[in-house]
Amino acid sequence: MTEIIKVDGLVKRYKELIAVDNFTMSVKEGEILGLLGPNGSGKSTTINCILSLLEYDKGSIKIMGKEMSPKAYDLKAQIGVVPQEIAVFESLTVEENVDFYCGLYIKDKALRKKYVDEAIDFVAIGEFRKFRPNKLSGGLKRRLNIACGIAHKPKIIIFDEPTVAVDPQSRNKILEGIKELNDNGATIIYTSHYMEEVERLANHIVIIDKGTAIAEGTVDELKNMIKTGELISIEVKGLDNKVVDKIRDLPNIFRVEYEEDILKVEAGNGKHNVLDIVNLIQNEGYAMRKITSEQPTLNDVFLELTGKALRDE
Amino acid sequence: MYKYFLRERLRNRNFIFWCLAFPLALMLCFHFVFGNLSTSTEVTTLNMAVIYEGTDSMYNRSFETMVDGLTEEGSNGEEALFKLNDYSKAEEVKEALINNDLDLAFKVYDDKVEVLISKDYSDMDIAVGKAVADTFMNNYDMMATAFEENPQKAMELISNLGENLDFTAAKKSEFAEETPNPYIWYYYSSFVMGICFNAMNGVDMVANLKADAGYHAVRVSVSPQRKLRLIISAYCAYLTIALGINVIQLLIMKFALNVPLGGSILKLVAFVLACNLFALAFGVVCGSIMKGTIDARGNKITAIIMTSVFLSGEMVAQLPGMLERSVPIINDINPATVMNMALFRLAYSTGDFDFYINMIKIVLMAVLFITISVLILRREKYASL
Repeated sequence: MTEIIKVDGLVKRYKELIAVDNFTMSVKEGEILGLLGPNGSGKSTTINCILSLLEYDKGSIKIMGKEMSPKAYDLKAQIGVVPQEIAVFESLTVEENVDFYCGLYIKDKALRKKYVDEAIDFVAIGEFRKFRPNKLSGGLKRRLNIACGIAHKPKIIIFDEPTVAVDPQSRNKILEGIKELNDNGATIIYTSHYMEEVERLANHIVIIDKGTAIAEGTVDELKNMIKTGELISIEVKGLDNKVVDKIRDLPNIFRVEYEEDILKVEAGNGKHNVLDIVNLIQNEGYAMRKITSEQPTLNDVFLELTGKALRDE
Repeated sequence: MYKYFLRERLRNRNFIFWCLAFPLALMLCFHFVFGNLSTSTEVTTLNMAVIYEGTDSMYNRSFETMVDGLTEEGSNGEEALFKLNDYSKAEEVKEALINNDLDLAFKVYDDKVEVLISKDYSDMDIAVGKAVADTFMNNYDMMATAFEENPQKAMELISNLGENLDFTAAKKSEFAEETPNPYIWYYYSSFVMGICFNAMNGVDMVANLKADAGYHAVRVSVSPQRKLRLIISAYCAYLTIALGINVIQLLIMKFALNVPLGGSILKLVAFVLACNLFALAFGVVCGSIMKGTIDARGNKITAIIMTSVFLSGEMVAQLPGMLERSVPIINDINPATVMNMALFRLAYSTGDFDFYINMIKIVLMAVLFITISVLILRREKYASL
């Protein structure tokens, strides 16, 4: 796949504070790149630099092989942005808002009308097209925000935390829509601190913390970077400390906790981790109630790489 | 873009309230408080009679001399203030007043003059009657002394007293066909305030075009549109609405409130255009350099406008005059005062000089602020997010 965005050695300072520190990433045509990091990690600053909204101190940003700058109008025409904040005019209707923003890119009236209709249908707010935004729910406003950013059918779409404060139903619709946009050929950069969303959407993930890319790869590649392979939870009553120690001594087990009748075990990648533990507990004569086994999440990856959870801040 | 900027403004209740409804509401309040401007400035010849009740011949003779002066036509062909009617008895005068055959009558005692008014009296009847009686009583001692020393000179003095009556504020030679009503300033000031509130549009323009000021502007800034095109579209749209609002206000002022606006539509259009351009550009510049949220910037601009309009005499019409005596520089640099003066001179001044002087000030300020505003909005390649 062709490299469509290349960020190389990006540095952005705010006086003493280094917001982005030697950040490098590349986005390939047709992929969904997830930019994952906690609040204040430098995601939005990086995006603003890519969009030439912010002047950066060092590094280079190339889009489709050309240097991005405030006057790179040909490149800007290929980009759609869905900002974190709902950027629509309260005194214009849904349809007028989409038409206004689409009009910044598309001059042909007939084509623009077609695009506006398609964008409204795409985010499924057709029945509200004559409504003003203040009459819409939070989720519908978010969908309008998306329609305004994608109506001109850009090749690259940047979503900056588009699901903040959105109900689960609307969130699902938004994520499905993003997937569909990607299926239709758009390259997408998706920034979020919701690891489940990034995990669900992205083909390629860059984890950013304190302005630096600390890891990147596919979901599996990232999970393989850490030693935790499996999180096992077993409900068992009155487990003796000696049994807990025996579990701890099992191969491939590196962390065991037992509190309030729940045994929590972190195991490395292995095929029989659950079986080994279950057999040991049964042989010791204890009855088990509920057994679960989970793969590590991106939060576990982040936790292991940085020592803090994604949503700590 | 022009179309949507226009539509967005038209539906913006905040803007419509401050620029259109609020100034009109103030003007209507002034109208109800101060009365109709056209009737209050008219001084027509009044039917009058005098009843002499006193025995002091000097007092009676002096009043008679003064009234004689007021029953003569002016040297410039002006109508006489009074037409003196002869009645022999006080009862006849009272009956004439009840029947409205007389507008007013004076009852002259030895030491005072009383004003009697007709059944259907007007404010002007009272004002004129009271002014004549007060002027006579206040000056009688001086007249009596003059009679003793130089009777000829005293006659002249008494007959000239009528010319100094203060119910007309200015002499005709200084003004055009109409005599300015002292309350007219409040109407002009309210109109100018509406124009000044156009600066709020300037702040909103910043929010729509400057990426660090508003979310809309982020979207606009990342689009392939050239900044200058956006700026011109926004200026044109905001100016169109402002001019539309001004036309409505001017029509109401002219035809419903009888506020004089001068005879030159061309000059009035030039005035309104220059003032609105200045106000918009002023809002853009202030909105760009101020810190804080866009609402906070709007609040600061409102405070500036309120101060400027207050100093121009919106609440106390005498304030610009007081400032002229103590710190005239404030009147020279206060945009609202300069605009008020231009409008006032447009309506009343016989010559164009004073109007043009104020217009030049407004145009210079407009050009300066438009230039700065375009430079700020256009040249800023990067937002300081």
